[in-house]
This record gives sequence, structure tokens and C-alpha cells, in this order.
Amino acid sequence: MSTPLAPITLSAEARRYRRQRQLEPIPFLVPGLVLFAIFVLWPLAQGLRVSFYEWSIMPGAEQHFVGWANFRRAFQDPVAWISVKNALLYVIVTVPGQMFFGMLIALGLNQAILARTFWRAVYYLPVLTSWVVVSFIFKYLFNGGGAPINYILKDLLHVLPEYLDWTQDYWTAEVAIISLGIWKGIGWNMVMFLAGLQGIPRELYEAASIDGASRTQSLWRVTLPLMRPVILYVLVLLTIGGFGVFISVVLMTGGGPMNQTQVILSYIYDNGFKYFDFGYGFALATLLSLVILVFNLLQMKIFGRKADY
Amino acid sequence: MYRKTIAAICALTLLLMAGCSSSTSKPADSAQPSTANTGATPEKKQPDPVTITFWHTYSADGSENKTLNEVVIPAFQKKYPYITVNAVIQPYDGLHDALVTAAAGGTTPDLMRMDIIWTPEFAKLGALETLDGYEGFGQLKSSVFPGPLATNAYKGKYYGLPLDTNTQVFIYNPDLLKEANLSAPPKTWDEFKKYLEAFKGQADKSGYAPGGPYPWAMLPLFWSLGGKVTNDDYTKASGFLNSDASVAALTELATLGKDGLFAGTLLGGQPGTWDGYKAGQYGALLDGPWFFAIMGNDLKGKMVGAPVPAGKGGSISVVGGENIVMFKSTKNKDAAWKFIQFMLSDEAQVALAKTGQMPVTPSASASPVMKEPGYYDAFIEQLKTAQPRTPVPAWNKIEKVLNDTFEAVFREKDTPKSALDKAAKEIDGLLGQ
Amino acid sequence: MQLSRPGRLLLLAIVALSSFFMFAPFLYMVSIALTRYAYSLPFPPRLWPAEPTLENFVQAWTSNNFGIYTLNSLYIAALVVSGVVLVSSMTAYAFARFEFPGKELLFRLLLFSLMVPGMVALIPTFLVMRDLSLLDSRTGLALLMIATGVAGNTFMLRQFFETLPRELEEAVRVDGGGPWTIYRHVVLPLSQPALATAAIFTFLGAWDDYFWARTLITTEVKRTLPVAIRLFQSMHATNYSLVFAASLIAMVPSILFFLFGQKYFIQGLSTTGLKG
Repeated sequence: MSTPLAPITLSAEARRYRRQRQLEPIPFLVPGLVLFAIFVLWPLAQGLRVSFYEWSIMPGAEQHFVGWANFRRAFQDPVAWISVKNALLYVIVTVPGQMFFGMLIALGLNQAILARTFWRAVYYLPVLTSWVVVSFIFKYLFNGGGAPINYILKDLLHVLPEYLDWTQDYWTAEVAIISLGIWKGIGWNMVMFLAGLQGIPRELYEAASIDGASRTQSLWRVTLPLMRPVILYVLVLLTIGGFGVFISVVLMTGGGPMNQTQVILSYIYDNGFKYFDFGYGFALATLLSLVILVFNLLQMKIFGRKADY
Repeated sequence: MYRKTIAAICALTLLLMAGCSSSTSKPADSAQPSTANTGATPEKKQPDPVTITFWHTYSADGSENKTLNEVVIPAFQKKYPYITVNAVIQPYDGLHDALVTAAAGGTTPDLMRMDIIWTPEFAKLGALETLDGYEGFGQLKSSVFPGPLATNAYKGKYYGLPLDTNTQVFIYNPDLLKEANLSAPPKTWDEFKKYLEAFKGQADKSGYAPGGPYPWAMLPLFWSLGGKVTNDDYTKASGFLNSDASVAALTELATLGKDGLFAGTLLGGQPGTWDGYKAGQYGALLDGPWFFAIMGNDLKGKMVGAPVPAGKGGSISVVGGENIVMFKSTKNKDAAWKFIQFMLSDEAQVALAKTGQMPVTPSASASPVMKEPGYYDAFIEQLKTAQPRTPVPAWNKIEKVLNDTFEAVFREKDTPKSALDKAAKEIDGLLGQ
Repeated sequence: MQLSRPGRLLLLAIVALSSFFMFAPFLYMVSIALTRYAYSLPFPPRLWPAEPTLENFVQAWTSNNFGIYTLNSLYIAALVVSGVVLVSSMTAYAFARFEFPGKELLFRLLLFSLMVPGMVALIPTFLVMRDLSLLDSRTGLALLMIATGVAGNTFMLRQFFETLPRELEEAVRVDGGGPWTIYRHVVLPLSQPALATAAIFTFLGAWDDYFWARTLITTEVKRTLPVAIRLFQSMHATNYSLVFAASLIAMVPSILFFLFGQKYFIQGLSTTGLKG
């Protein structure tokens, strides 16, 4: 972490200089923080407050403070537990999956190969396509006996003994949802890691190879350690995004079969905007935020330190 | 240099904010208390001009939106030159959220064409205007079909009027009917079962493709078999949803599913109902008038509408459609009410009927326009007995309970009796909300 | 760390082969868009339509106001990208290079805001926009999107800025330059890949936003492209061919912006002017 220059002497000049340096960040902070406070922080605080109420959205309506009741209800709600479990599964599989493939492709497309820009664009295409559209396509790819995936796996590759009705069974439905998540996210990871790779000075690789390091060794000893801040950012953001999985599940399985693939965000949404039970929905949202916070703090503990070079 | 930077940033921030607030929406139109008294004869004294905003979801690519803007609204404005109608087409995706948000912010439009199942919940929320006291309401109320009208009632008051209606009928492919050695569509449940049996064991063919376990698709069959969701007042599900008749109805549907007499679409199998029907794999399905409008070119002569096969409960389908509602936040009640009245007139109803919107009044339904497409007859006939989905504010939750109950039974995770007992208890609690 | 020539050829083969997995679903989308009309996806599946047609592209493009909606989207995206990159890089610079009271607390607050599901804030944000008279305003919508982009991009840019070598900044200080000079002439030029990344993702977010545009804009001519595309979906049946064609048209600017942005991914950039 950064530290201000240590004052050499404490003369009046030096003290003035120090005070001036303390004021220096203010103009850089003001625009961002003002916008953040007005349009993000204030509304979020308002929303989280609803967790403690039986809330009516109508202006001027009477609001009933219910204390922790909404939170207690959440802990006894089996659907809430199922949906948290599914979101966790999604995060645990898709986050490393996306990062692994994204890193691999970024390393490859950082090389001077033919038509590099074209390949980068191809891998980025899924990021550009809207969730609604790709969810329809994946549903179609996986759904039913005549689905293309079934054809490839059974008739071409002979991996499957028979056609599967992917969205009609919990685990196969999760396979479909998760493979969409990974497919859609690889391009995002690629871009982040490509940007990260640019920051590594060429001299360091040269120095490593003079020291006799092999290519794999310099990947582990130079590239990955220097990418640590970027990797941490990607990890934190993907985790947040993973817990927010929603549209693809709604469109591919509708939470089915038998609510088994329900995820937490769609449950929050239904409670709030569909059933007008905003207090309960937002209590679930508050709890979810805390779960994500714990996850992210752990990630920062593990990957965050030693970030100074 | 440094000070200047601070000043520049502050100025920039302020400028940005100011720039935005100058491009604000215009203030709401002022109230028109004077027209409330003299409004009946606008020609006498020219009232102040008003603008009313009307949200709707008439389809953008078909002729619906065009007819609204080029025929219906001009006709209204000719009658009331001082009223400007600002009709805003809304995507259906996210409309419910946008409406909830607007209600919270007090920025709802004056009027809206909304799905009939939304009216009770927004009435309960307190966002809608009660129409009972408006001049001529009683007359309008008695001029529309009772089924669609029922979806506007909440706690004994009316919060809207039906604007268009629809239902689902039994649509069959005559070719597959012939394969089953039938000369006419199945009228009774026994005939229906015999018809289904004809396709038993055929891997790629099915007599009937249900849309899924959700109420819109399942209720017509459940009701026709004698099942019930609640009592007639929509206050109690116990003793109705889990009555012997209801249990028998669901058992019958589950048996047909288990025996493979229904297509796999019952539980989300592929191909979907429309694809399978188009490919000649499915002999029949339930759907609304839009099916004929959209499939017209592809399936000429391969789709005929007939009543839902009648079981112990009769031939009962489900009512769909839209209501027109006025929001409490409106400042132009008089003008908004005039627009509602106009939208229920034969002039507007018939104009929109030409685009596939089924009228809600018997007089407009009798118009020769309804004979033209050739498929409305089955729907008009079916509407006579069609029932609304439980018109209560908690319908969204009831819908979920029913869907989960039906699905559990079809997947053999629960027996009809125990599943319906549980559901009845849960829905009892929701009906009071 | 560049590979040898045979190594690069092998890599090219691997990249090309695996790109098929990325491309196949997309190809399928193109194929549907070229089908005359598909209210349902075709069964049995086929990768290419029997009679391809550009009809859907023409219909989507010539439908009501599609051109105006594109301009609205471009205007908003341009404002948001420049706003987010400017504001976030300033904020990130402050977090990366200065000490001030409450710094880590503030930063955690920015981070935490990302973890709370956005739908919680939908109604309160709407009320703030209403109270500031920013409803139904394209510029207001852009301002909101700039504000919501600050937290994530500040986090990202801070991570990048902290890997920048400090030697150049100290040199500027010794020459009498202030923080503004360092920001302008050292941090920004050295962070081009990171800034390009922020710009690419911000553009996509602004370009694709449906949620806010749907809720805040109520006048038809002020609407954006994603809203126009959703109008092709109707309650009872959706013409997928038309929706997919419209979505493909809408993807073109995003692809162009990506191609433009990724030019700034030049390896070894941060070594220029260093230790020379």
C-alpha cells in the first residue's frame, strides 16, 4: 500500500507541504464520491432499511416496523436455502471455470499469431450477446430428445448411451445452466487478463530467461504473481456476478423441475416485485449481500496481500 | 493550478446536474375541475385542452398499434378535440416492475390497458381509481360480458372495465383426426380419451399437447373434468380445490400423463406445442385466437377450433384479455373517463376487433367483422362458459402454488389427494390477503 | 514471452479449433435471424435455413423509430463511457496513490455497494431521479449510469494503478509537478490497457441496458435500442427471427467498439520511458 513521503525535517515549509499533500486527493475524489453517494449509496441504504419493515410501496402508506421478523423467516424458509445452495454451486463451478479458460485464451491471444484481433473478437462475441437471446439458444441446444447437444454426445461422440432430457433433471439442468455461465463469461475474463498482461514489463521475462527459467517457470514466477491484483479483481467481481445469476435460470428452467434449480435472486425478485412482499424479499437481499461479503473478504485475505512489488 | 482544478471539477459536476434538470419532463397537466360539470356537452363551452397518457401493450409489429393510433384515437379526438391522447406502447417484458415503480413514485400514467390478472393486485395496492361512482358506469357495467368484468372487482368495488377478451379453444388438426378414425372433434371426455388412445405407443405422435403444468394450460382441463379452485366468491379453497371432484379430475389428468396419452410437453418436453403441431406430430392443443392469426399462412386447413372436450364440469375454458384502468394519481379524471367510455363503444371495439382483439360487449361481438376471419365463432361460443383465474390480489402466488401442485403430481412426487390438501390450505391463507 | 514460430502455428490451430465452441451458438442465432419467420425454434434442428432471407434485418431496421433509438443509445453510451472513464480514473488514482482519513472504509463501501442486488435500490433510485427532475431524460439516464459505474471501475482501475511503477511520479514531483500532472501525463498514458478495458465494458453495459431505460424513459422518441428490441417480443408469441435479427444489428456497434478498444492492448506499454 502507498505511504506519503516521510518528511525529512519538520520545518514550517515541510509542514505546509504535508498539509497540502493531504488536501491533494480531494478534487480527485469529489466527483466520483458525490455521484456515488446520491445515486447509489443513498438508494441502497433506503432499500436495505425495507428489510425491517412490512413495506408498502405506495407513497404516504403506513409502514410497519417488524424488527428481525423477516430475517427469522428467511432462516426457516426451505426455498431460500435451496436457492442459496444453487447460487453457491453456480459460483463455485463457473468462477474458476471462466477464469481458467479466460486466462488460457488471454495467454494464447497475447502471442503474435495470425489474425489475432479476429480471434479476440470471436471469443468476445458471447459477452456481447444479450442474456435473453443466449438463454433461448442454450435452452434449445439442451432441451429434449432432438436437442443438438444430444445429437453430438450420443450419435457423434458416443459418450451418452441415450438421449437426455437435460432440463428435466436437477443435475443435468445445472450442467446446462453452468455451461452457459462459463461460455458467456470466458470473453470477459479474456479481456481483463489481456489488459493485465500488458502491464508486465518485457524486461522481467528477459531477466527470467537469462536466469535460466523455463517458459512454465516464468508463467508461475513472473506472470501470475504480477497479475495478482487483476486476478483478485476478476475473482471478486465474478463471485458477485455469480450470486446474481437469474435471467438464464428463469429462461432455461424457470427454476424447475420442482423448484430445484431456483436461484436466490429470482426468489428475491418474486417476493418483492411479484408478491409485493418487499420486506421479506429485501431481507433475503441483505442476507445475500452479507454472504457475498464474507466470500469476498476471504478471497481478499487469500489473494490480496503481497500485492506490493 | 491546483485551486483551478478543484474549481473546474466542482463547476463540471454542477454543470452536469444543471444540464440534466433543465431537460426535465414538463409539469403535469393541471386538473380540470370545471369539465366535470359541463363535460357532457363539450361543444357548448370549449374546455381547456388536456393531455391524457395511456400505456398499452398492443403489438408493435402487427396492426394493433397502428389501428389504435390511426383509427381509434383520431376518432376519439374528433369527438373531444380538447383532449389529446398520448398513447405509449410498452414492452411486456418488465412492464409489471415499471408499473410498480411508477406507482411508488406517483408517476403512473392516467390510463392503462393491463392484463386482467393484474387489476386486483394493483387495486389492493391502492394505485387504481374506483370507477363505481362515475356517470354512466352502471350502464357500461351491464353492457359487457360478466366473465371478463369479474376480474375488475376488488372488495365489492370496480377498478376497471374489460377492454378486450379471449379464451383458449381446442384446436385440432383434421389430418390427425382422420388417423384416429374420427369424423368430428371429441365433444365429451370419453370421446377425447378414445381419440388419445388412437396414438398410444406412437413414439413421434400424440393426440394432445398440453402447454405445461401451469394454470393457464391446465385449468381448462381441470375445470372441465369437474375440478374447482375456490368457491364462487373466491374466499375459500378448502373443500373445493381438494373436494372429491377435484381430486378425481387431477387423478384423471395424471393418469393420462403417466400412460403417455399426453405429449411430453406436459413437463416441458420437446418439441414445444407449436413446433410439434406445425410438424404434424401433435393432433391438438389449447390456444387463443392469436394462434390462428400467426399460423394462418403455415397451417391453412390444418387447424380448426372446437369447444374444450366436456367432462363432468362441462366445457369450461379460461378467460384471458385486458382491462382498461384509471390510476388514482391522474389529474384528468374526467377526460380519462371519457376515453374509457369511448374504448368500450362499438366504434372502438369493432375497429380493434379487426386486428384480432375480441370485443367485450355482445353488441360489438355481433358485428359482421367478427365473421370475417372465420375462427372467432369457436371462441365466442367458448367464452359463454369460460371462467377467470381466481381474481384476487394474491393470484401471482396462487398461480405458483397451483403450478407446483400440478407438477408434483405429474412427476409422481405426490398423490393428487395429498397435494391438493396442502395446496387448498395454502391458498386459503392467500385468499384473505 | 513470445513463442517460437512452430509454437505459434500450433497455438493458432488450437485457438481456431476451440473458437468453434464459442462461435457455434452464435452461428445458430444468425441462422434463426435468416429464417423467414420463427415463432418457435425449428424442430428438428438445422444449422442453416433452407431459404435464407434478409427480410428480418430489413424489417427490424425499418420498423418505427429504430434509427432514432440507435442515435439515443449512441448518445447515452458516449456520455456514459467518457463520464465513467474520467470519473473512475480520478477516483481510482486518489485511492491508489494517496493516504487520507477513512480511505479503506470508503473503499469498502464502494465494494459493498457492488454486492447488494441492484433490484433492492430500484424504487429508491427512481425516487431520487424523480426528486432531481431527472425522469424521462436521456442525460439523466446517462448520469445515473455514470454513477452506478463508479464503484466497479474505481475498484478495477485502482488494482491496475497500484501495479504502475512509482519512479516516474517521483520524478515528476522532483520537477515540481503536482498530482494533476502525474494523473494526466503519467497515470493515464501508462494505463491505456486498463482504461480501454473499462471503456469496453462500460460501453457494453450502457449500450445493453434495458432495466433503467425501461423504467426511467417514458417518452417514445427518447427510448433506446434494447427497449425497441423488446417491443418485438409480445405477450403471446415472439417472432424469434425478428428479435434475433434486431439483436444482431444492435451488436454491430459493440463489436466495433471492442475492435477499437482492444488496439490499446499493447504489451510492454508500461516500460516505455522507464529506466531508459
